[in-house]
Amino acid sequence: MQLISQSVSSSAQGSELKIDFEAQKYLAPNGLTIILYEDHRIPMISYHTWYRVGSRNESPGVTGAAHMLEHMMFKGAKKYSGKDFDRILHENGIMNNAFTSWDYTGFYQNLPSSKLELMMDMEVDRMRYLKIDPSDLKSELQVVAEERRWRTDNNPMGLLREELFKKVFNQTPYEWPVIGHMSDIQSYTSEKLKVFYDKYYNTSNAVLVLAGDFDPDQVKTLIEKHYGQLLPAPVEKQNFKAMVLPSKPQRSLIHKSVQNATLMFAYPSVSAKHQDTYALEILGHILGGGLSSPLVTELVYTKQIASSAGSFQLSNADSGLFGISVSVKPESNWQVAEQLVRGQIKAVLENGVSAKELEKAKINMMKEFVDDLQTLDGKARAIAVNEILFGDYKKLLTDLEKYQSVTVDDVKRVANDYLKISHETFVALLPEDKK
Amino acid sequence: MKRHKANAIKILALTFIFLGCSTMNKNQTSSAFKINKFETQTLQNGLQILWLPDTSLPRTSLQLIIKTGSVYESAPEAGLNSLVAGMLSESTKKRSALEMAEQLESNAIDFSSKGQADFTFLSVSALNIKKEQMLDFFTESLFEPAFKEADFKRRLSNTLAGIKKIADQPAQVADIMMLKNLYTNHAYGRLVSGSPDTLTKFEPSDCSRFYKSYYRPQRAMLAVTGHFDDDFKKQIIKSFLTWEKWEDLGQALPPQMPPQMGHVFINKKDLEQTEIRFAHLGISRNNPDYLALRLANMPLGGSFASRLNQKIRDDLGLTYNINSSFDTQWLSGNFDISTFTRHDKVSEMVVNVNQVFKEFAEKGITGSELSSAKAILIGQFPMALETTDRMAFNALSLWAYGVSFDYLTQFQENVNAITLEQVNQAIKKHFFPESLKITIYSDQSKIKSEMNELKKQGYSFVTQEFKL
Repeated sequence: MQLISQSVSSSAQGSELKIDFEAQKYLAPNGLTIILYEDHRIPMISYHTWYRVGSRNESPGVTGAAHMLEHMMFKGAKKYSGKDFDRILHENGIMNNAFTSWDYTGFYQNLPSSKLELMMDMEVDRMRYLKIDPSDLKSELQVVAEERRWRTDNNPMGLLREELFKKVFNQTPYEWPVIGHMSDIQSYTSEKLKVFYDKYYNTSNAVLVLAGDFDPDQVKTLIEKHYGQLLPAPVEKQNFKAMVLPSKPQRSLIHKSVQNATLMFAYPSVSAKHQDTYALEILGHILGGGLSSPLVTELVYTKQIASSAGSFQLSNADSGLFGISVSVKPESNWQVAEQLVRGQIKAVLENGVSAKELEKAKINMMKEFVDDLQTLDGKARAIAVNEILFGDYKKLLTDLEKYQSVTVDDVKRVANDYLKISHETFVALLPEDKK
Repeated sequence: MKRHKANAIKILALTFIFLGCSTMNKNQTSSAFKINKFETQTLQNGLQILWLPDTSLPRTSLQLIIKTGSVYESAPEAGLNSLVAGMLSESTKKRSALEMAEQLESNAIDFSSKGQADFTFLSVSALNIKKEQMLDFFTESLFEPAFKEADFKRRLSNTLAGIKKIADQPAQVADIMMLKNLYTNHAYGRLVSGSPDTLTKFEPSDCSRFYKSYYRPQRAMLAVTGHFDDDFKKQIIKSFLTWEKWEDLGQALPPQMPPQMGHVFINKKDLEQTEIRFAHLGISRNNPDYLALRLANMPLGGSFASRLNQKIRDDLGLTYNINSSFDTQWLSGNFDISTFTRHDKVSEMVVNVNQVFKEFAEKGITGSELSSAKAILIGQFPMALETTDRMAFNALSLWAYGVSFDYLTQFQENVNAITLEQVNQAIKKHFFPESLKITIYSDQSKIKSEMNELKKQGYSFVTQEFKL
């Protein structure tokens, strides 16, 4: 396998904030993107294989297929059966797991560095030769159904989130839950999943990130030996349905047997690739990102009507939302809490934010960035998510400069551009006796 | 922060070297895991300090463990330590709660203070350019809490709201009821944050009294990690020498073996899934069989390849998650199996879990299961010490539990030396199928036939109400 090499060394701004971050990125002829981050602090490797497929690649009727396939990736392939897979990993001291999101699916292991070749052999086996046995699927359908009950149907907050995304992302692939609707979960077939697997699980659609204790030259040889046998299968670019902005506010009250009211406000915003995402993330930090933020100060400290409050920008590959959440105290009036939030939104729209608030948000984001890079697994995740979403893991570092360049005017502008009442979705989870 | 001279510092014990941190030679590839040395010292007021330098990232942190927790509370004091720990995040004698929050966040300093059953854990971290401010805030919060009435009322109100909201978390309710029935009236059977009955009787003066008695240097160990130099070390020592030593208080009492409780059923209308726990009393953290039992638990329910996971999840599809663990505390502990399933599978779940557990307790584990368990414990061990923060947390916890630091330095040798016979003897000694008590949290109206089926099989349940 011929590899094209590229490396980068970057640092955060300020002499005392220098961060060495040197990785090598390779694109294999079969389309596999490989990023190697060498770090010998402990004799272990964090091994991440991420695929550019998530629930947005599904369609109504087969929601949750990406997540179901993630489960089936542990049920056996040509060389390693499902029973053998976990047993062999554990016999070799390897811990493993996986996750699925709207935009990608990731498999990861933390392994002793001496076990690297074994891990490659096992990942290559299931990347290309997965068996989706109907009897395994029958049992795993029940496992996933239990997961859905646990995360959503038996969890009032899960129901609230599901309702919110359904309304905000209406008629886009982000409207359905990553885990899928129960009716769809119960009706997957191995044939349906095989079509999904063949389309998305291949070298052209994957990013391999290794972080840890290895010799890059030796790793390149191993990659060539194991992944080199796989043929490319480029995935046709998919166009996803764009979000249609609502013409009037949406409001949904869910009554359940719960102890207190939880309020969620959401506004359609921008995807991770949009320039405004930086100012929106900073707005999220300023408005409700800490104990001294206006939302928390007003609702938790001063009026003492809520036990917590927060705000955030959620950026997906194709769209995003700006959200505000409030956990109202059981004995308090949720409608008063709603009005207090509206007062804080109005204040930021009219007055913007101060330079001091902006600086506070920036330094806290820098701290979070540094905290996330403490472990091999944290570094591998940061590399993988940036490579998957933006096609360039180095964005991890250039982002720091983008956040630093945001001004108070930028924050006021994005607040006014996106926090529009006509676009608002308000969802409240309320105790049955509170109307 | 004022600087000072080294000779002004009174240190009881000179700095010495005793065990290590988790780094290898930066440029060497090796499968051997070498633990480097680090320093510790004891100040005149009894505070012990661990120094764990690490310049790989521009951050510094302090972690402090204090031997005070809910085990030191009397029954009417339930929740007092947790409240005191929380009050350390509020006003000090110099600054209001909002000023503290504002200034901490303006400097990107993350501060937390949490009371647990056996100990209280405080931590603070910052970018290294803010480490002096970090030290100031941390010592001010720890040494000069104001326990103001307004802060107290707000925090109490939030705590009560949090307790009430537990009823909306089925897994948490099942865990709480399981512990309540295992430990009856002992602190380990109570919620660390207390109950409405006890909390509403507290005054700010109760917090001051408890703080004065238990938040003392001779009961504490501090770990300093990350980017720091000798000047910063001197500042830390000077600051912490001002922490006043106080009369030490008596020890907490271990739980008495409670009367044998039956299986318990708790009803809640409209639950969509049944939470199930299986538990019996276990061992304290300093039990000599601790490592053998960690190895024993791995093939039972400690991993994806375990017997419980393979049978209950993979073969029968009864749940998304099942695991077993020894939760060890300072004075006691418990063994438990935790899972959930759909309503019409409750009896099948109970019967199969008991079957797997009984066979395990009677026959023990196999040589290959032991090899696999050793591979996981040894293979993953470096991850537990990957960052200096993790190393510090492990070292502080061991100290609080009265376990030698050899647990870390000799870990791999000790795990390797354990034989199959030792593990199976430990299983016979510490696993009791006949004592395994079941807690079921479900909607009674939806699982009537399942409960009847269990009754037919000899299981008898006492119905309890969830109340804190």
